[in-house]
Amino acid sequence: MLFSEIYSAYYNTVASIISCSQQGKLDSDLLFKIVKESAFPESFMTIGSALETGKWPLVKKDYSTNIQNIPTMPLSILQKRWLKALCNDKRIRLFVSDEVLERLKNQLQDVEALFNENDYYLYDKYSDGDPYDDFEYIKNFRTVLEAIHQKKTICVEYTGRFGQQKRFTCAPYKIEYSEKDDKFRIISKVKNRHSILNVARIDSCELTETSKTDDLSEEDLPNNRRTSVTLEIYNERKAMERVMLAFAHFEKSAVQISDDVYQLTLNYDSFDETELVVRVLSFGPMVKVLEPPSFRNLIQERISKQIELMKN
Amino acid sequence: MAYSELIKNLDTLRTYIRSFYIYGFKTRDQFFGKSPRTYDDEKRRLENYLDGYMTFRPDENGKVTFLSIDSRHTTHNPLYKIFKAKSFTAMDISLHFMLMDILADGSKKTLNQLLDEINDTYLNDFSSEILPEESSLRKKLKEYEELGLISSEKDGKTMFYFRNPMTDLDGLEDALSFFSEIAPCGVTGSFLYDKLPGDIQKNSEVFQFKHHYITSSIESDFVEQFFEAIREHRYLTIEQRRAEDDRTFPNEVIPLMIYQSTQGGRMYLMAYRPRGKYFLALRFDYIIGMTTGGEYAGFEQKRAEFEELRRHIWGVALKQNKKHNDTTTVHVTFRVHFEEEEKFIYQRLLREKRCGTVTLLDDNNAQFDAEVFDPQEIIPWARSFICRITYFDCSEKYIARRFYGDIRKMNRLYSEEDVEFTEEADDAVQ
Repeated sequence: MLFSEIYSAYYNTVASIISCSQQGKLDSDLLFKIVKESAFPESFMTIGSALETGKWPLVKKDYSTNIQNIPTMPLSILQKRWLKALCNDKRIRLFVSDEVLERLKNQLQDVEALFNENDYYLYDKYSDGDPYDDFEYIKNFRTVLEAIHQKKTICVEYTGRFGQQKRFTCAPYKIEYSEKDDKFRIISKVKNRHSILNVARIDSCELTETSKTDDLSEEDLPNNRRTSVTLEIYNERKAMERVMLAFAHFEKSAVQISDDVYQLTLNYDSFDETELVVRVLSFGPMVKVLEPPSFRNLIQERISKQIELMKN
Repeated sequence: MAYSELIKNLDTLRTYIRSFYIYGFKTRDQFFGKSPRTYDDEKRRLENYLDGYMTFRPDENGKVTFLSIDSRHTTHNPLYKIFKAKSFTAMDISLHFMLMDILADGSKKTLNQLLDEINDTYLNDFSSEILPEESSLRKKLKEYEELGLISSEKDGKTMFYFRNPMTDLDGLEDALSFFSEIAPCGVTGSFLYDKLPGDIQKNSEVFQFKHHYITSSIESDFVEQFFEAIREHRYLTIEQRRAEDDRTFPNEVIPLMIYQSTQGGRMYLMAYRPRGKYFLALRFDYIIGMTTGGEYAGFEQKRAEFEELRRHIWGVALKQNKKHNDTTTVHVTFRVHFEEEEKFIYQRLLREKRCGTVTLLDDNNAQFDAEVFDPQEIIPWARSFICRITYFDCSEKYIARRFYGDIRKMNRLYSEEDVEFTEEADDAVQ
C-alpha cells in the first residue's frame, strides 16, 4: 500500500527526534528545529505537543526516550518490488557499479518486480535515445557523474552536431535527462560559456585531476537567459485542457479572459525557443501568440511559408 | 470537522492540485460544487505541504491561488509530499517505534511477549491508559506483515514475530535520485531517498529533468494497484468521474498496460472490458476509486490481442467514434520538404514516426505514412512541420480538409490582427 503512514513525514521526523534524544541532545528548541526542517511548516503544533504531553509515549518529560536502538525500518515489500523493477532498467548501470547491482539483485532475489517493460509504455518517446548498453557510453557517463560529485573538470573529446571533432575542458554542473528525447545532456561551463553537451556525443572524457570547479549554481552559468511568451487559448476541441497540460511543467500564470478564451504566460529557457515554436504550432488555430513580437514573427513566418506551399 | 494537517485519503486534494497546478486561474468563488470550507482547508493543506510553490495574484473576481512549479529547475517532485501526509492514530505511531525497537536485534517474539515488553519497558513513565489491547497489537502485526516489515512463523501452536532484514542501499544514492523522478511509482523511490542522511541527499542532487511532467505522480497509488492487478491477472473495477458532467461511473476491466505521454504527461490505463468484449483506454486523472477483483483466466490471450492492435495506435485511441469492435484503420500521409542544410528534419521524422513509416523520396523530400485507428491523433504532430508540408492526405477526407482549413485559420489569426493594427496606426497618423 503506497499511501501509508509508515512513509510519512511525521514518522521520519519522529525517528530523527528519537535519535537526538538517544544522543542526549534533545530539548524543546531542538525538537522544534527538527520538526521545522523535516516535516511541514504547521507540523510543530501536532508533533511537538503530542510528544511533549506524552500522547505519543516516545519521548519522556526530560526529553530522554525508552527506545533503545536508532530507529530503523526494513524496506516494505512495495519498496523492494520497486527496486527490483529498477534492476531491469538498462539505465541503472549508469549510476550503480556492477558490484552494487549484483548485491542488490541478491538481496531482492525472492521479490517480484513491481512492473516490467510490458506493463508501461511511453507512447510518444523519440526512438533515437541514448545507447545505454554501450560500454563507452556508460564509462563516459560515470566519469561525468564523478566529476560533478567531486567538483572537478573533465577533458572531453566530442563530436559536434555537424560531425566536427572537438577537444576541450568542461566544468559539468548537472546532468539533465529528457524522457521525451530519452537522452542525457550535461549542463556545463566551457570556456566561460553555458554549454549543453550530449553525453552520447562524447567520444572520450577523463577527470582533470588538478583543476576544480567552483561551487557553481545554475544562475552563475553564463548565457542562461530566461524569457517568456504569452499565448491566447481558444477553448475549442478541449484545447484549453490540452494546452494547460502540455505546458504544465513550465513556470506559468493563467487568466480566464472570457467563457472560452484564456491567456497563458510561460517562462522558459531561451535555448528552447525553437522547440516551443514547434509545440505552439502543433495546437493549430486554438492557440495564438500575443507577445513578444519576435516569437510571434517566428510563428507567422512558418505559417506564411506553409500558405505559399499550399498555393502550389 | 476540525482542520487536520494530515489526510485519510487523497481524492479531494488531487482535484485541488489539478486545478491549482494545471489550470491556475480559478478564484475561490469559481470552485463550483465545493464548499468554501473545503476550499479553505484544501488550500491551507497545499500551502503547508508545498511551501514555496503556492502563489497568488489578484484578479477582478477575487484572489487567484495557483501552483507554479518549473519542474526543469526543481530537483525533486514536490507533489510527492501529499503521499507523506497520511493520517494515523497515537497508537499507530507508538506501536510502530516500539515494535521496530523490540524486534531490532533479530529476535523472535510472541504476541504476549511483545505486549509485556511494551508495558514494562516502553510505557514506563507514561500513563497506563496508553497500553494497547491485544487485538490492536495483533491487527498492527498483521498489517506490518502485509507491508513486508515483519514476518511470522509458527512453532507448534505458538506464533512468533520477527523483523525482516534490512536492505543495503549504499551505492544506490544517484539511482534513487534519478529513478524517483522518472520511474513509474517514483514516489516509492522518494520514500527510500528520505531515509538517506541529509548530506548524502544533497550530494546526489545532480540531476535535472527536461519535459518533466509531474502531474500524473499524484495518481501513483492507483498505478501501484494497477501493476499489482496486472501481475496477478486480476479484474479491476475502476470508478471514474466524467469531467463534462461530474458524474461517476464504474468500469470492470482487465488491466493490460499503462500508456503515458512524455509530451503532455497524461497517463492512460489500457484495458480489456469483458462486458462488451472490447479494448479501451481510460484516463488516470478521471479515476476516483479502484477495487481489485478475482482472477481472469484469459489475461495472456488478451495481452497478445492488444499487442496486435498496438501497431495501429498512434496515441491511445483504439477505435474511432466508439465503434468498439471496429478494427478498420485509416491511412494518413504527408510529405515534407527540407533544404540541404536541414537534413535534421528527415531525422526528426525518423525518430518521431512511432507506428508510421518514413520514405526518403529524394535529397530534399520525405514522406510519412501510417495506418491508424484515429487519424486525428496525428494532426498535432503533423502541424509541427508547418512551413514544410508539400502534401497532406487522409483516407477520411474530412481530416485533410480540416487540416488545411486549420492552417488557413491560423494564417487569419495573425493577418487579421495586422489589419487592425494598421488601421489603428493610420488613425494615429491622422
